[in-house]
Amino acid sequence: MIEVSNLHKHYGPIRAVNGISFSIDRGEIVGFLGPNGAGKSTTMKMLTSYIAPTRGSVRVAGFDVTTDSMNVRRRVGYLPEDTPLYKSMAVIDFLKFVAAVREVPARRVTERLRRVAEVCGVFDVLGQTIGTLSKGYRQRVGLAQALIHDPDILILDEPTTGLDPNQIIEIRNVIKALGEEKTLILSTHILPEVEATCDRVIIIDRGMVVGDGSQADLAKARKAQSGFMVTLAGKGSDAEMRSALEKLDEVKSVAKAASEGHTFIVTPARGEDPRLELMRLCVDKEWTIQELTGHMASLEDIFRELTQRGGLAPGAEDEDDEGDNKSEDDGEDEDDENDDGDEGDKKSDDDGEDEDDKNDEGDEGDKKSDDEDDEDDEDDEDDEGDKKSDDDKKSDSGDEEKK
Amino acid sequence: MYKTWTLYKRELGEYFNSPIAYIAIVLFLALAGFWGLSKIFNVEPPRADMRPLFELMPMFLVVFAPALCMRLLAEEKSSGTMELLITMPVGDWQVVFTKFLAAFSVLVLMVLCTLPIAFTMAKMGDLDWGVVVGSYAGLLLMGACYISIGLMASSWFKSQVLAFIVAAAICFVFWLLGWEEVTKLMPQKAAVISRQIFGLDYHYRNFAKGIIDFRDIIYYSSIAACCLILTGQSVQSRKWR
Repeated sequence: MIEVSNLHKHYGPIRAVNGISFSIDRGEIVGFLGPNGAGKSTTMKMLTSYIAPTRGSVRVAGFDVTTDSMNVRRRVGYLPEDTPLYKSMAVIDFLKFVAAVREVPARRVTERLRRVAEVCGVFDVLGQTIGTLSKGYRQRVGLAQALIHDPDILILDEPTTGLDPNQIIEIRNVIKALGEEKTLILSTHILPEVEATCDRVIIIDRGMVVGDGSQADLAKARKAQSGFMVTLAGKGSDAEMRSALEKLDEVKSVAKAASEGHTFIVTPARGEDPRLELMRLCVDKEWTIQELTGHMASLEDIFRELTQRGGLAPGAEDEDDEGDNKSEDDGEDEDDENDDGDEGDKKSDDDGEDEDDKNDEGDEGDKKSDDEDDEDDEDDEDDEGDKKSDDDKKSDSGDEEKK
Repeated sequence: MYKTWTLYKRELGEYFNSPIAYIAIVLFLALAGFWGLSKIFNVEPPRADMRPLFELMPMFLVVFAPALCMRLLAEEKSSGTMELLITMPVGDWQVVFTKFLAAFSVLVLMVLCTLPIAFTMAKMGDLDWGVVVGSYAGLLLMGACYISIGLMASSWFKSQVLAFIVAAAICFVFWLLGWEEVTKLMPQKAAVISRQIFGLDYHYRNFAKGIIDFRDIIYYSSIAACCLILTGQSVQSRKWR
């Protein structure tokens, strides 16, 4: 349905998109995931033939976006970033306008209008001027205009930005329902959104695809990072416990997780299961295991891994760095956005040359956090069960303790 | 065709669903009425002659046409609706053309609102309708040029204020370069070129005399067409920038 090959877009010296290739089959719901400025929106603009690629080709529904753009536009429903709408128009007039321009036959307009108004829940506001609507309703109107001509392909650029948690869930449900019959691409930098709605994830960073596959595929790649979070009780200091854990053969690394209690993140050596040894150790030392959890890497972990290291290959771990960052993380990890900020900091520890880029990202994250605090709080709750990477565990356990 | 009509209707709606069109028309009439009529009635001996008004209106248009146009593309760009519009199955040229047409329609309405003055004058004295019709034709053609200049400027900027200032400046320069008082100061050849090429006002003189010359019509049409082509290019430039 959509084939992108070696797509480039350069804005002067800036390479916004730098050799992206992927193909999407009919009926897939694909999450397009990446940090701010990764090239998501630029790619979507090229998919919808708003801008032309510098190099490479995009075929949508069999038509080339540069040479056959009218045919592409007829088959695509598009919700641009920030949901631009004609604010002075009434919702119904706007939708009628879009229907006419989108070539919906006159006799079907009423029927389509009724249908999209139902699906997107804008029935109650049809008579209102768009400028007077709340952000959530505007988003729905944006979705409605993308659907009015019943397109095969839907491209939604950050469809849930700025919505409150209830609205997010509603929009997600709409998206899920639509995904049953349509090919759907949605971009986002909010991970749980993808987890909640998409079959497949394409992760891009700095204009390149750094990961592509189903959530399970990607998680498999990250399985090496799967770890345990263990909370011990008994005599002994943190340092003592940590060094004892580190001495176990099956354990690759240990990090302290939360500020209170003896909670550690234990990463096993590849293919090993340290749980038995851990038990024995605890029996020897007369410690009790109060909690022991383990789970598959969440999308978030994959995302962080990929966007920080720039590849799917599970590279060497930098537990030390993460350990160092622990103290920063502890206090402030109430929401994901702060994580983004920390990512920037951590990155600068990892390698000096990208310091600026990454710190910028951190800043952006912080700026956005006003809008998104709500969603992220909610997201944290969703995810508490399946966080895995060191940092997330830290943050989660931090949260739990606070609660 | 139906799509063009829909786009045109929407653009026109933007003018009339907001105060823009009403304020522009009322202001234009107030200025034309007050300024123009005070000149008309101060002629000694009193004559039924609308020429003083027709000499003023081109100057008003220098400001009014850019004001009508400034939002056309600048607003779409700054609010992001450009992306919405252009990713629908419409051509860039269709967008430019319908916007031009909508703004021009408002201008036509605005200018024609001064017609009652002509009817009143005709009642009171012996009005030369040839001059009136010619002047209106010239005024509208000149207006079309100003509108296309305004639209072009609007396509260059995201800020409506900038679009307005630049458009008004260009219109003013065009008007100035064809103005007798200015061309008089130039060397002979330069004056001819200046009048012929830039002289929106110079070409208007013929119309104001009641002469509708094909060459003048061609002149105005080509200026408008040039500006519209440049506008289209500017809209398309998003692709390769």
